[in-house]
Amino acid sequence: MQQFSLEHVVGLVATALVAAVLVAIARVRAEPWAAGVARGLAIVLVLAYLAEHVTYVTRGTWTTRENLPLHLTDAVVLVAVAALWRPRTAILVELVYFWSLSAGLQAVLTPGVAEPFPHILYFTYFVIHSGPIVAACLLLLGCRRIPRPRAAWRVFGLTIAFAAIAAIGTVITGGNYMFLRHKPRAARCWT
Amino acid sequence: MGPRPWYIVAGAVLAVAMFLVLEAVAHAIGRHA
Repeated sequence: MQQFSLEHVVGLVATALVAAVLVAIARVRAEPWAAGVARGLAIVLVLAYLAEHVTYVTRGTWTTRENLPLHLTDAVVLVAVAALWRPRTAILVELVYFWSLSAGLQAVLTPGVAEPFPHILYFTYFVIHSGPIVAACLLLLGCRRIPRPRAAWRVFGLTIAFAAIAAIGTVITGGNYMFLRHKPRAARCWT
Repeated sequence: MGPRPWYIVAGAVLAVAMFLVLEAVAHAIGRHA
């Protein structure tokens, strides 16, 4: 997908609109609605994540080099689902907030998906990468779950720990998890 | 070609800077919530 093409911009606008609507619902309708909205988003994320893997398996392109859950995106999605389901667990909310607004935002701004609209992987890419960003907005702005003091350092430590696991996976499989071996094709920020 | 060492150091510094900015933003949101 070409960066800032029509289909990319539509994905960005949809992300912003969904985030705004879900935050507004959570703020206006308060606790029971906020919990329902959060769990609904969690279910959508799980379905999109499974759909992406099923798509790779059915077309015979699922490999241990590329599709093990060792990219930060995988961790963000799975943590986002847990945080949306259990928003009172502070560390989950902190991980979603810091990871989605750093790694997730970069993935959405520099999309790494070859399949154009309306291919299923176009939709799963945006749901999987934009979903945690929407989740972070919903949890912070809608549900008012604010990261605790020194959360940045806690999340940085867990990021290093996950990077160590991804590095082991990268060496064993010959893959490029967390882009530790080389930067992704879609990276354009500092090239 | 493997990653150059200074990429890893620069990435870690950038990540810390980004996280600290995000923490400041979150606490600003918290004060106004």
